[in-house]
Amino acid sequence: MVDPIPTLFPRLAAAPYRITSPRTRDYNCIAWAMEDTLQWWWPAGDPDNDAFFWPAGLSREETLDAFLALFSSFGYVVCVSEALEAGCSKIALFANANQVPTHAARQLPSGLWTSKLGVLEDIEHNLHDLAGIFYGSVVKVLRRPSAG
Amino acid sequence: MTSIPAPQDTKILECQVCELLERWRTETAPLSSSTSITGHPMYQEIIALGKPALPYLFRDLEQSQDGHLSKALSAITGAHPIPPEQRGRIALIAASWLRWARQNGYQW
Repeated sequence: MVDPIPTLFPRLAAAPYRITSPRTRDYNCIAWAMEDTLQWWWPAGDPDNDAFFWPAGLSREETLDAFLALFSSFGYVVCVSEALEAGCSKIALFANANQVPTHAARQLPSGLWTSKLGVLEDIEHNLHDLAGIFYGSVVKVLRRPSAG
Repeated sequence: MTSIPAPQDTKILECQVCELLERWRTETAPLSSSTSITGHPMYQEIIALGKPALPYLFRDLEQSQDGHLSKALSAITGAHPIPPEQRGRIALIAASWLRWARQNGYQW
């Protein structure tokens, strides 16, 4: 089967990346950023749509503020640098030109980033290599003290 | 009097459902946004097909376990069989819909 990932994310055609999981519909990028592989996380306010999870009490608007509130509720704060920092876990949030969130990636101990690509695979990649038509660009980087 | 669709009509409808599902899945594959996934034009066309499409949607659901079809199934049937604790659990949502379909006499 042809790997569609470089077609969807053209920067990956000329950059290193590694597929690290099979395809699955069980979870999405936000879940993966939160290290959850059981649920599809998204702040959809549609009462007829059951196919998403969002923690109770948080805004279900598809806005940067809603996503920042989610990450804040798990201890993350906005930071300036995307560089690897000892003792810190980092998440990068992508948004489109209208500032609507599209994607999140989680930094690995190696300094590379890991992303779940919709219903496709998880990959390891350089942070900005997913920028483009689907995800827009990185708009916020957040960090919290690493567990343990 | 309710007319019984001719076999060729049901085959055309089945092909239409399959094509819409394939295009919807291809074009939304890299997306995480539930809003974008269910707001996609192909998804809206699936909903517009209405109740005649249900057997083909349940057949696909059984094979794909794709709980993202839940909103379309609710829109067509008016039913909401997913318990709150299953929200976001895509395969469990598919299983709950298939259980509901069998309990309500659907065959596929």
